[in-house]
Amino acid sequence: MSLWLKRSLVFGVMVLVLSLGSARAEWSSNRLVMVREPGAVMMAVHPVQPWLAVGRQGMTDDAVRIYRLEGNGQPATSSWVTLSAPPVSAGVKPQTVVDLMFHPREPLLYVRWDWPAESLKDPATRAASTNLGSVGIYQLTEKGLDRSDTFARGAMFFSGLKPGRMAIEAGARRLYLSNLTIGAGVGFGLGSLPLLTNGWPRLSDGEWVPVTVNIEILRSPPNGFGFMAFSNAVIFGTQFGPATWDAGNRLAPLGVFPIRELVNQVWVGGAAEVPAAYSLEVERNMACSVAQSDGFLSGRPQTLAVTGAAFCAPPTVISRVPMYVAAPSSAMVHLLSIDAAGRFDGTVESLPVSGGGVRDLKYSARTDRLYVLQETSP
Amino acid sequence: MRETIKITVTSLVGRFRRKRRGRLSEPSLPWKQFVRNVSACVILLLGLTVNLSSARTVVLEGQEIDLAAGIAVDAPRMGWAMSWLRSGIYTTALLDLVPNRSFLFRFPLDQIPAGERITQAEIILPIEVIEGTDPRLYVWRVTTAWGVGACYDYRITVPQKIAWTRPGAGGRFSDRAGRPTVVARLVTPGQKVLNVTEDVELWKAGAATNWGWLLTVEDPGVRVQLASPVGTGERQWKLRITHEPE
Repeated sequence: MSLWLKRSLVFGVMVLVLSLGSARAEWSSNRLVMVREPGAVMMAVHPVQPWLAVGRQGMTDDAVRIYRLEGNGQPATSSWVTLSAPPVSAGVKPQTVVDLMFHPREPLLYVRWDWPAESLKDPATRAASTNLGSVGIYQLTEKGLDRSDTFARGAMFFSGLKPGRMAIEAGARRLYLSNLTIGAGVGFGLGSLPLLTNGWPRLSDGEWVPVTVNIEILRSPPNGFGFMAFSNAVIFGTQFGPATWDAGNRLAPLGVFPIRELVNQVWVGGAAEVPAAYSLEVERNMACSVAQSDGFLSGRPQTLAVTGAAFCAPPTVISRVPMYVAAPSSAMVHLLSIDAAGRFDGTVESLPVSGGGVRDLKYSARTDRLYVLQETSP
Repeated sequence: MRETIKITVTSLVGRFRRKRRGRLSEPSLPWKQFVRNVSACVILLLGLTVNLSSARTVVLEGQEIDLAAGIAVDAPRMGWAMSWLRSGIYTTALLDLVPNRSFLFRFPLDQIPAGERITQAEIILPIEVIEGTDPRLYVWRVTTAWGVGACYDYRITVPQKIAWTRPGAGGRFSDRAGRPTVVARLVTPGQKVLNVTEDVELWKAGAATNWGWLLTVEDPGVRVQLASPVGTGERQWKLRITHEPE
């Protein structure tokens, strides 16, 4: 090998190493956006509009704060719209937010309201649950809140459990709810609710009627640990591992994929454009990838033990190449590198979060930013 | 992978020694003894050469299966529709083969060096329960590509959906071979060893692509339950291949 060739080779390797190093540095410094909020527990980023919403549990007024995102993807310093818990009559305890999400296209925010389990023991509050809605829909314009209403009334929709994640599939024809009370059990069901093309509920005789499935056998209370929603199927977390509900199949609606390495309930997440579903074991360090297509799990699972992790919220997928699964621990954000098929390649970067209190992660493909929600003291 | 090399040198040496011991009591001329020793050494060397370059056995276990799918007519989009947890709830924990519910799997063969001749190949299946009259298990060679999202309706769904010629990998000569490689009569549960030499020979010779096997039961009322290769049966599923240089 000539000296010139050797030098070129060494130079090439150096450039490659430096470029990889700078990519990591750029990721850490520029694409990670901290969102600090007192009492914050969950967050949503609109896929199209420059809006970011934060849910604050235990708050009645100001329970949801919506921020505008600046051109650089950073949220504005003060909130743009605030939402309060639905009003209740005297003697009834106030509801609290258990999840929120934006419509994939429309300027709509969906907020899941529930009571804490203790409040539901109060007879007046239990009675009120037959009249008050559990899903609030808030239509926004550039000027602010334009219209709002609540739907999904009745004891079926209130479980006292948290979290109580929701999901809408990319086609926005169905909204999926967790923690439905079915039969004598509590929090043992999932529901699929039909939507109009504008994102508002498709009602039957004035009621928003769900198709439900009982998942009591999967020992999954609460079952609101994250969803991946598709046109007819949804992937959700159980105590055994990820599972699929095929809402269009009455003969065989459920398929569960037990993973031997998992002990606890799992958080579930993913991105429709990545052919894998990701599970993170609650308060432990095991991450799992299973191939999926249209919400149906497939092939052999892959597990990855992440050093120093204790997962505290669902994963989010950074779908811009190089792709990562972003997985939150209380004081750290772990970036698990994945290949084009969605499988872990074994590379993990853990970014410490000063002060801890990480509650949620969301990646926005529009801004190419990873938003980290950090709960601060009031 | 476990690999065993058949070395029978010790037995040759033993035979040589026994031979020598047997002759020691007999009166013999020195030159005869010399010839005997030389010929024994030649035999030993020949034996060593032959045995070092002879058959090797490779055992692949369940965790090396790189493609797997459980497909059932009542869950046409599920990729793991194999065993009921309760009616309507499928799980991957066990494999229950009944008519219209089958299992596809593939062992990669890249650990077998190129240019080797397959002398024997066997799959070893952990059978846990057998039900029905005259239960038979069918092993078919899959003849078409399948992969992520394989289910009863489709052989692959990523990046695009491609259907089986007939649902459930049912197309003879197109989805699976025209005749089963093995039809095994099952009597008692336990490890069942099935001869699949013909298929592995075809794949290694390049006459067909390795798309693995399809396990079915065809007779009404028959149920065959196996431990799952993604569950407790991971190490009980085996493909044992003996190969030697051409």
